[in-house]
Amino acid sequence: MLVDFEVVERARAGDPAAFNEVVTAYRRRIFGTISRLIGRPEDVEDVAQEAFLRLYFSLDQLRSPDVFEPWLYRLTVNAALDYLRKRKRRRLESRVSDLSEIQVTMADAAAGTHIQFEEHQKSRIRETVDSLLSGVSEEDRMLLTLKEVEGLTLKELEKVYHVNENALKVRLFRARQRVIKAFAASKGGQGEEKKNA
Amino acid sequence: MRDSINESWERQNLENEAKLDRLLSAYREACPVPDASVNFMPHLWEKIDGSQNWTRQVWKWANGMVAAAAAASLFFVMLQLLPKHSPDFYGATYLETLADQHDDEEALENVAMSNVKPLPELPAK
Repeated sequence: MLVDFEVVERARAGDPAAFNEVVTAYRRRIFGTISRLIGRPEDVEDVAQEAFLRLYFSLDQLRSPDVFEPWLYRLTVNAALDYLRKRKRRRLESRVSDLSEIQVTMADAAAGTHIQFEEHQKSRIRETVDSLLSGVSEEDRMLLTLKEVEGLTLKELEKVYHVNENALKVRLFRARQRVIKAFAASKGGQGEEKKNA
Repeated sequence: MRDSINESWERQNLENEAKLDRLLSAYREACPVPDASVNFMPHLWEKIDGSQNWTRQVWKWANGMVAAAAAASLFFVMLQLLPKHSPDFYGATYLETLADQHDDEEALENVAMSNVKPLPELPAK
């Protein structure tokens, strides 16, 4: 844990300084997770505020210190899911081309220098992964991101989702298979060619 | 032939899995982590206060409603408990009311007597 549980306890008792301490300790991690979950850097702060707001109002429901982090992850995932659902009006395909202002600026600015080239590469990676993950549901996208990108273990995911490990494994496997299929197809249908050979 | 196709397909699948793993780990690095703005904490506290005020308002309103409902109930209970005076108009019969309105017995007697004619005498048999 990034803070002592005693600090969390004080925050739960209504100590604003303790709550500030908790937010400051987890802010960067939560920003990173949200950034990877929603893929729009300009909206990360709003979603993070929503997650911390939920944290503030549900602190009294926390019973034991060892579930604090999975629980915070759960609040974060829920806030990100709500954000994505609000944006779901747009078509799935448009999400791929729907680059944020920053991404467009970065892509446009990609020119000669090494840094700009790197930025351009990163932007391409984000685009590719976003497009691959758009083939699965928002929930599976979250699950895959938490497992494959954030590096959460199955045990940790179990605590986040309150679902048993086997159910998570099945869900992850299916989601991953769908993404791999999309990945193979995006490479020009190489998989199909092999099958038809 | 079939085995070689399967092998090739499996190899391709494994390659894709490995490439996807690399892509996903590169994605972690590629996603920028924006820094929190200076106003992050003040805005967060504003939102917290806003939510608390709203909750407080709803709580106050709900309490007011409960108090009003309790007062109204009490009022009706008191109303039920008060002794009932049945008004004379409904309690008395028509004749009693009439009698009450003309309680001057003598006057009535006189009126009654003045209107009474003596009985005619019966013829002797």
